[in-house]
Amino acid sequence: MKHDHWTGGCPDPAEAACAQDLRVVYRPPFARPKIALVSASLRLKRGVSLGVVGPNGAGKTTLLRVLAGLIRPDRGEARVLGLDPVVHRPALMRRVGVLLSGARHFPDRWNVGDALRFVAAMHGVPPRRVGELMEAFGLAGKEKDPLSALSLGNRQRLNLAVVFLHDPELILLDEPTLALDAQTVEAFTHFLRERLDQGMSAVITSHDHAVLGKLVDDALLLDQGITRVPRGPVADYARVALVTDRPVAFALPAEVRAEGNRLELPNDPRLVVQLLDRLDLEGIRVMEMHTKTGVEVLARARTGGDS
Amino acid sequence: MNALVRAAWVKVRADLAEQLRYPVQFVFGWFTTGAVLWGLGLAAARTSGTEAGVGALATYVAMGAVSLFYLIPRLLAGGKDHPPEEAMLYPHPLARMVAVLASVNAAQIAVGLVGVYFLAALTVTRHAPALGVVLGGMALALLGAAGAGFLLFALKLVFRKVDGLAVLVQLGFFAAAFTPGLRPDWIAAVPVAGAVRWLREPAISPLPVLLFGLLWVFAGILAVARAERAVVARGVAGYE
Repeated sequence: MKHDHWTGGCPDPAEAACAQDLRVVYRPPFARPKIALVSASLRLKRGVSLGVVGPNGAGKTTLLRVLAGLIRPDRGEARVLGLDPVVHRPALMRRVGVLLSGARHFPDRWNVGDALRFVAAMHGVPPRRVGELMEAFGLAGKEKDPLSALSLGNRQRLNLAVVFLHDPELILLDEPTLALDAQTVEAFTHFLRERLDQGMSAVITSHDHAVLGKLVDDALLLDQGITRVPRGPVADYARVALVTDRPVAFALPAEVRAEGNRLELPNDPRLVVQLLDRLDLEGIRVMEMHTKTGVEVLARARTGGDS
Repeated sequence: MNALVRAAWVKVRADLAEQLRYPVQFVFGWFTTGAVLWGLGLAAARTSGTEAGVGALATYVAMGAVSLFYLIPRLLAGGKDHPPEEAMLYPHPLARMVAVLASVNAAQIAVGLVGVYFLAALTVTRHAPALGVVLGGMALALLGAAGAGFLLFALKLVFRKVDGLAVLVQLGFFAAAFTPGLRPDWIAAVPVAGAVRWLREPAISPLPVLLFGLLWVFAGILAVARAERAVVARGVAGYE
């Protein structure tokens, strides 16, 4: 994703999604209005996946709701696949898959096959697609399982399968990996990557930033209803963290941050190798070493970047 | 539209399959419904001074209509009280979707209750009731109740919790349909009561009841469409 076009309107109908300076106020009847978005903007090219990170109540789900046409913003403009999401919501829903608050609800008395066949019928999708999706999401053999008896993980697999049933051009996923085990997350990452390679686009929110980092190409931060765009590609924010057996006494390169026996540096292989060589030379052992995705670092920074 | 009808059919099959998983409950549920409604119908006939068979039929028809009224606000929520926004994630205008699914539900109710009434009437009276009257009464009652149900669906979309009102309206339907001596000229305009009156006095033209039923449906569909716009403007589609 380029970083040179986060301002201006939504003139490009070829973009997968565009939101410009959105302000959203919830106005429930007989309750005080609540401002959910103050100024939110995003632009998403086709075939790209964008992560939206931020603390609880930052407005992530609201932003997805606007893109799904469920809320008309008070101010600003939104375009999804070239359409006004509020005006053209039914038409858009043929082309967009949506998961809000990590769940889809079906009658508990139904079984897995019923739920998938119902959604497939709603979208005019041939029933054979149901079998394909069940296979892809590890639900094969569970067609007759009642929803009330499904584990949380299997329920989430079903929720995800539902989103992809009609082969959407764009997916809006809010907390897609809730309750999924590591193996399923891995399989889902692979599945999503394949779709992205085929041209699908995605906007994804998640509090599991490590997983989100694997799912998305880029990210933006949403804090108190305001989007903040990273200063560069989110991959540049990726870090390697080390814990050594004792504090480092020698002069470190400027990019390396040290705090006691903890070191953190950009995920630049040359820099990492250079540091490891030096540690080896000094006889310092590395006790722990792990990577942090750019999304994780960006989410932790919260207020970093430009608004 | 075809997609919606297919989806509604999937829903019918899923619901039926679930009921058939528990065959004893399924059979005796209908048996109990039939017996209870027949008994209530006899009681209603005695208090309102109508013929016993008509009283029983009126009870079946009223129960079918009130059931539809109760079900419509729950059509797209799986019976649970979660926000309506999920229903708006399908590629159909909400009002059309509700109308089609409600129609299929109405047909389901009609088939079930008319079937049970037929069997009950055969068992008790030893002769088959006039199918035209039974189906006509049921259709008229379901039409008015559907319109009122759509209005309730619209209110539920915006205000979320409307169960108290729903119960009151259901009681009102029964009261208007079965209160003895309540025979104002405008009864044809009242959902359920208009149909029950026609069952009692089939010589009267059913046309006014039909027209008012269609009017209720039209008003209800308009209300759903208006409510859909309201929840999007207020941002309360996902409001708990």
